[in-house]
Amino acid sequence: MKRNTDINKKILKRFYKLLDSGVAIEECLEKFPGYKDELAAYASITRNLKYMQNIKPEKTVEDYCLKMVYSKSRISNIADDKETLKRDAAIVRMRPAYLKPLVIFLGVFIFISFSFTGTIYASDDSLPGDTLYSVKRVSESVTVAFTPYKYEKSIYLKMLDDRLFEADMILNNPEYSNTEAAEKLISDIDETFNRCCQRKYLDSGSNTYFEERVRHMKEGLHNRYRMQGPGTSECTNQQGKNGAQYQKGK
Amino acid sequence: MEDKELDYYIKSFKKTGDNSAYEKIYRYYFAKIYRFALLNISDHQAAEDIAIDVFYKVYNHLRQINLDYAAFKAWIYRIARNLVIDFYRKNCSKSDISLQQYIEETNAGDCEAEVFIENEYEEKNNFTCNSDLSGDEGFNNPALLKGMEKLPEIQKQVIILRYVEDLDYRSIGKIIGKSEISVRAIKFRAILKLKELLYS
Repeated sequence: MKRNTDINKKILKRFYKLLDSGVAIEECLEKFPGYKDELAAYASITRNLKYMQNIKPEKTVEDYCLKMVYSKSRISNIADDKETLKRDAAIVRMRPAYLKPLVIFLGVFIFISFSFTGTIYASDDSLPGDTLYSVKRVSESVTVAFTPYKYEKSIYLKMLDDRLFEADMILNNPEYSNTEAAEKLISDIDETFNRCCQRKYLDSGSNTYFEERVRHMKEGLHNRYRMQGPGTSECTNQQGKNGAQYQKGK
Repeated sequence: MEDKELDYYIKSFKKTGDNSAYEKIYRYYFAKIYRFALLNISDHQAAEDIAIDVFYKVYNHLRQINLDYAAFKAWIYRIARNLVIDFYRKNCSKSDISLQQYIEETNAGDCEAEVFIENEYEEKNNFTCNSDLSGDEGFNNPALLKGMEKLPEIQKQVIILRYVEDLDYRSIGKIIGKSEISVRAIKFRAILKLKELLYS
């Protein structure tokens, strides 16, 4: 019994394979004359299934449904348009046209400002010969350039103090070996001190104090880097005279 | 309508949104989609609703996707199938109006179809072996429809798509999301089950 069923299945598969290839049902049956009776039931089912192709809606139903599709699409389009208008209006209210470039500009500006400020802040502790030292000097020059004359005194005194502090740091750092930068620092100290003297920024008390410090630092640097003698650092009459002339000119 | 002609209308509608091209597509496919829905859910009103929804989706989305006629055929049946599944999910119990009842009502005066079926069966009555499946009744065949209703959904859909809608196995595979071989196997099991239901 099982064997027969297996054979029938094989035959049935071949029968349906033939049907699938486009051969008519009757022709397919004729190809299996020994199984005609068994296959007749399947042929009948297949034929009846194919007759279902005659199920068709009435023309009125077809037309009615088409109208419904159009009306549904129109309603949906109107709703979509309203939604789009609402959305667009909201976007217009919330995001004016200039907002995007403005935000980009502000973003770039803030980024550059922070970078610039950060670099200057980082350069504050730099010593001569460091990468950021030039930034420190430039920022000092810019500060002087944009500071009114009456406030320049404090800037120059701070600059002198900074130079002396830098010299102190170099002397206290045994690993520091940049002789060229140390020489430059000595000349900078001299230059700043002379400028302060010329412009009479140093009163008698602070003059002595700075003179002592300048001499001490210069001696220290000369001894360490075996440079020529430190020379003298004091406010001469000539310098005072020049300073008075400078102030008069201002 | 030939495939090339259909392809032309699809492209024309996609390019211009021309309603006349859409109507050609609609007229060609409406009966098929309606029949597919009706055979699946046995409710003519719901079948109409599903057909409307299918063509509404086609109207709105066809312009956004790139399909040739072969892919379009699979796509439209897939939409219909998904809507049929949605219908089943929403309505666990089927409608009171059965498919058989509807077919009896709508084809009461459809002499043309009946004559065609009678002629067919007169020629081939050697092969009708069950009184329930007699050729006189044509597609108005309660036993076959009842048998189909007893089939699992997937088998029923494959049978409908293969023999009623005359689709190839590859397209059916795309519609139901299975391989061609699986579709062949499902169809074969469905035929065996139908035979068992109708002739046991």
